[in-house]
Amino acid sequence: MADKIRILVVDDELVIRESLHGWLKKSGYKVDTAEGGSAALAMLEKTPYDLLFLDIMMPVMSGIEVLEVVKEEYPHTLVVMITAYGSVETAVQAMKVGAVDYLMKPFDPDQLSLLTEKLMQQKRIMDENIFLREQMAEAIRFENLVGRSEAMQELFVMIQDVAESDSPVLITGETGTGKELVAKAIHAKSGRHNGPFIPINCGAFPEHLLESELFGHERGAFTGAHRAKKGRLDLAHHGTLFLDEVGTVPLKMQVDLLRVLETKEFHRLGGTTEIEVDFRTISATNRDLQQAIKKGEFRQDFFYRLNVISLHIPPLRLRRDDIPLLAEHFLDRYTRETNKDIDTISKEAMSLLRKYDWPGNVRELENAIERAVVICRKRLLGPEEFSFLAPHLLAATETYSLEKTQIAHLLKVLKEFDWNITRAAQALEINRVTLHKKIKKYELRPDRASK
Amino acid sequence: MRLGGVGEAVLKIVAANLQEVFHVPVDILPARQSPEFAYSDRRKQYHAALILKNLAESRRPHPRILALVSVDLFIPVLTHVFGEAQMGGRAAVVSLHRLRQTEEGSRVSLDTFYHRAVKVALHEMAHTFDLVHCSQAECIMRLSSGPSDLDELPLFFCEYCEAFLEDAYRRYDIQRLPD
Repeated sequence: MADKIRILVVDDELVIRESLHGWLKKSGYKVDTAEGGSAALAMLEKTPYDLLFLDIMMPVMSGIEVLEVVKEEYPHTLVVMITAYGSVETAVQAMKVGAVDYLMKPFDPDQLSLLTEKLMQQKRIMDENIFLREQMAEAIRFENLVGRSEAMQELFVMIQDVAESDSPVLITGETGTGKELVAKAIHAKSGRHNGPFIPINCGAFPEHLLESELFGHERGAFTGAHRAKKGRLDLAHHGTLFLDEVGTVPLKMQVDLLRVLETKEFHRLGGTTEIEVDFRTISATNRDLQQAIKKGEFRQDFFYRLNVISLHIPPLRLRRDDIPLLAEHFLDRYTRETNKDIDTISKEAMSLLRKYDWPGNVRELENAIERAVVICRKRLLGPEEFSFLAPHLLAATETYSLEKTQIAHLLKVLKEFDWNITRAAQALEINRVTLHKKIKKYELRPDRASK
Repeated sequence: MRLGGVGEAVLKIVAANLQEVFHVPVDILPARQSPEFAYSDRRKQYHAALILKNLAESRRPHPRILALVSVDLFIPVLTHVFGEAQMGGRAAVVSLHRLRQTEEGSRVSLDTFYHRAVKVALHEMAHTFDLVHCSQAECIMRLSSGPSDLDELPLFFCEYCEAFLEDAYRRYDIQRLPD
């Protein structure tokens, strides 16, 4: 099956679109269709396609014109030109512009299947190169779990309880909430803590690489397998296997993994010897797996096997009390890493950080602090260091609270009159006693805003 | 079911194998006429999608209907097809037209012909249960690139496709025959 390969068929003839769509779907590809060049370009803007079947003779915008735009803006998308009119000249022109091949309608089914398979191989190699480059660029970081909110305290208790058993755990939570940290904490507190903690991000590997990463391979198992290699299943022996982004595991591999989880036995790619392994499984996902099961994208039996114990990590916006602690924690780390003298985060900046919704959760907060530390030229991180979060932060500063508006206004006037109470009271058109009461009530001070 | 000039023997062999491999009860329906409504003057072939549409509209109570035809089938984008099916739908059709000979044109044995017909029927019927082409060498769902390639296919599903088929039976609430 061809997981994750997306194909767009562009042809003005409905019957051609429909029949090519149907044929490609039977090979397991994800296929969309467009009836013309502009529709196709609009779809490319939203979805990255691996392969385009592009008709040359189309009204309004010709296939060659579309091809030129695609090669300019989406150089990783492979394009096969299709036409009902045999014209060597147009074919040569299309190949010069960057089409990978040229087919005459109707196609011979053998020719179409061989070509599609060949192009998918080509695409896999391209993806693999991109993936390897990204891997090299990725910085490896470790951090401790931080949080004193009620939600996190409950989570810590759960981690402690869960660690004592050997059952599979499924951790759910939005991206960036720290699912791997929780997995590591469970491993560290479990009886397997002397064994290895082997993480694998299932979503980060193209399908064939994921298979060899997990199961390993024998020498000569496939082109390029010059040496036998142990897979992560092997490496996790006596330890914990952490399957991150488990919702992206292709269906076929779910069948394989389910068998391994049940039998604790597997064999490497190209090998026949059954290898016995003993590990605990912790998996994590930000996908709604129940929904994925309904859509037929995730196997129910595999889900039950993974989800013996479930842990949910709440998003940062639902535990805002943890934001100051986390922000200080990251500030400490990045000032040490960058050798900068930054003492703290200002009240105003912290207030903004608390109000922001952090769609990328803890990871986004960490990145924001790191960036602020890099650009900061003072000893204090102020709101201006977080201006890159605008317009979210700017929106967050807007308040409709009467009390907060009053505090802000009182501070503004007091500052303007250099904390001269008489003059400030006059400007505010209230008496001095009232102003004193308000200053006391809101704990206003010249050096800081308010509590 | 057979449409037009299809022998009874091949029909019975296909039906028996469908029942054996899919573990579902299979009925042989009365023969119908050749599907002239699907004939294309331009292609001099029969449009597979039109035949499928016609089969899917059948008032028979059967959840799946497979037809055998002796005429050559096409879909607009391809020169020919051995068979065609509605993905996750009700209908499938198998053409025997190209199964009687080798790519070079010489006739194959009756045994080989029957085997090929059964394989295309199993493959197409599996598409109606949402199965897609499989990359496993030992699987009936592997895409074959010609009649002789069909001869290399096994008469069974790989373990992955078996598992997907089990899922589909549950999803479509298909009653299976007892073992």
